[in-house]
Amino acid sequence: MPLMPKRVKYRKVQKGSRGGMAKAGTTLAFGEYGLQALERAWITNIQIEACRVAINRNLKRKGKLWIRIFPDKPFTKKPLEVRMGKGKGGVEGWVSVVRPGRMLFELDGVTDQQARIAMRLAATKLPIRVQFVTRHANR
Amino acid sequence: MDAKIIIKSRDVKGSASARRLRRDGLVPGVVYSEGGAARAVSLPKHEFEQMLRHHVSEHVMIKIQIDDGAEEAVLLKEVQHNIISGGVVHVDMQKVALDKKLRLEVPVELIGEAEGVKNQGGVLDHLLHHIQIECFPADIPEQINVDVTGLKLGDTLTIKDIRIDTAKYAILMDADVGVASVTQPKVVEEEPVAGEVAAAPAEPEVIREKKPEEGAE
Repeated sequence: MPLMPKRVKYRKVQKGSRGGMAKAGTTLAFGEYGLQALERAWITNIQIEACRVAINRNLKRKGKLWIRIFPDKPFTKKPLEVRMGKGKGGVEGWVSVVRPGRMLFELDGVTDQQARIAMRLAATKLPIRVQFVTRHANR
Repeated sequence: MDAKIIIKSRDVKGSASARRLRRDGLVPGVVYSEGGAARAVSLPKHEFEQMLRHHVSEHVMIKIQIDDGAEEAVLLKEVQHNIISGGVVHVDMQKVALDKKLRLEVPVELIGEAEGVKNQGGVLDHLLHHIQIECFPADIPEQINVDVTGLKLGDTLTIKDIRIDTAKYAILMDADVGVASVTQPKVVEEEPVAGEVAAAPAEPEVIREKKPEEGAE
């Protein structure tokens, strides 16, 4: 089941801004390897789920995965062939607002090569450019 | 300690001049000193990054020479990086007295393969990546190595299990804080059946300040 909030304060929200760079969640906090966003986008819960499945299928039972983004923003859509007006459309799905620099996923307990392959598979499920980062990049 | 870095004092301040410095291959920085005024400086970026590459920790003692002044040892207090490229954006340095103890964070490195991972199919979870210690400037370690070979499935290694020279270092954290543990890997969930995917996801509950009264007009 794709991610979505259990409770919300408001059913529908305005579009908001996606400008600027990510302010928080830009560094590796849990794992040894990570996937960092280089562009901005609304990442849907279905895309996050697709990434999770791709990583877990590739790693089988190895390693530990952290998902660092959560789709807490609802987006709406009007039905097809409906005239403008008559109020806002219904909630169509849930997205996470991702700005450049945001850490999307983190991995630990696997080798560098395994992490690279799994993250590359996850990256193909995303609509933005991403980069693979490691905690020991300096060494 | 590495070769000294020759840095220049700078008069210009503010983000625009800092940007100009970075464009010229320099990094803005500050040298703090106890009791004295902070001094704005600029460092050669390439040289500084090369020096940093040879260290695991970013809290190390380095030798600097400001303009034509005397050579002095300073502690790297904070190094700010660009969040995407990782390049150095700003450096905070602190002049320290060599006879006074310092408090700083050093990285924790797990050494060896845990038994729970090797033979019992567990996953090693690195819980604590940095540890706060107190020591003299001359004794600052690059990292603290923690041996995890004896960890079995379900075991947790805590701060009190870290073998460290207590004469030199004092750990300033709670002894029961976990450093690493070996846990059972999470079972991969079954793929949902096609019918389940088609089912519309439930709407989340909307938090209302007041529940609508029954029978209200």
